[in-house]
Amino acid sequence: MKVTFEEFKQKFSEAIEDEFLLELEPNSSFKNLESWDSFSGMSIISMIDEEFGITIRSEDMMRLNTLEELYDLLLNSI
Amino acid sequence: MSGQILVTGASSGIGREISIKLSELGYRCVLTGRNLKELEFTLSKMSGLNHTIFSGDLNDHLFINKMSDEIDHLNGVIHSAGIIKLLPFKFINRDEFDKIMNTNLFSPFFLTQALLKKKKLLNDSSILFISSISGPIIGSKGNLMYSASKSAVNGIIKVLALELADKKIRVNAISAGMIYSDMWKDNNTVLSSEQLIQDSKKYPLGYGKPSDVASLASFLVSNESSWITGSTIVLDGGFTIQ
Repeated sequence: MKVTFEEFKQKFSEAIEDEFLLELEPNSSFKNLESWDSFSGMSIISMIDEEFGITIRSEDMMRLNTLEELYDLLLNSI
Repeated sequence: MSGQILVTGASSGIGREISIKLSELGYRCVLTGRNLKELEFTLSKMSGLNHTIFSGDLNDHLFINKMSDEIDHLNGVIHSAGIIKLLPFKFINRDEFDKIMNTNLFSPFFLTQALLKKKKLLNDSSILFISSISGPIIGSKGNLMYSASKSAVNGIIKVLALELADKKIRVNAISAGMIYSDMWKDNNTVLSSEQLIQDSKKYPLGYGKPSDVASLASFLVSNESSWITGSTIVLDGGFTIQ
């Protein structure tokens, strides 16, 4: 399965319903977003499960900082 | 205490702790759950003899029928088998919703019905559902499916209590707050330990333990609670009084 960073960012922003995210750079910290809370984390994990059939643990995701690191985690799990 | 109690979900967590507690009080228990090895582990921790094990899936009506046929008369049944999955509203699908409603609502309901139809529940017996504050009392983000199932459970106990009152069969529920049990440990991927620690601070007495539920369950299943029916007892370490 191929997923580009741009596609991933699109899905990410849809999941937490934050349009501002589309302007984010790969090295932006997603946890520092103003709209980020524990429900955002749950939404992202659910999105990755639904779109890619991959279960990512909250513990693992919270160790990451940037969108690119999360994208890499996804690619390594596919 | 004497008599025989059926405990579902006895292979782990709250069901296991209830089984151990009831055995210490002198009850004979019928343990049911999907994992035979875990049921045998529960049995190894119990006092007394003459407990029995029925290993199988309560979502399978053939298993329910077989167990209800083979089981000896009961003085009580405690429905503690349950599952949970946190999903934001827009990611919920029918398959996941069905799984939760089947295990948390339909299976305990149809097991109760089968036991009653086959006259396995004695007069004066007690039916207890392990329910939750989630749904009946509070909501929390992502917990829609589980909340729906537990609200339904808290609804049906009132009707069952009325319909079974002539036989002096009592029907109650425990609305438990967060019990950090195997149900959470085994299935939680969406909340980190840090989030759980923060959440536990919202409980005046901290998170509950399976043994806290076992103590109340053993009271509600005994004759000590013979005038309590159709009731939901909140057991939440003070969480919902805030």
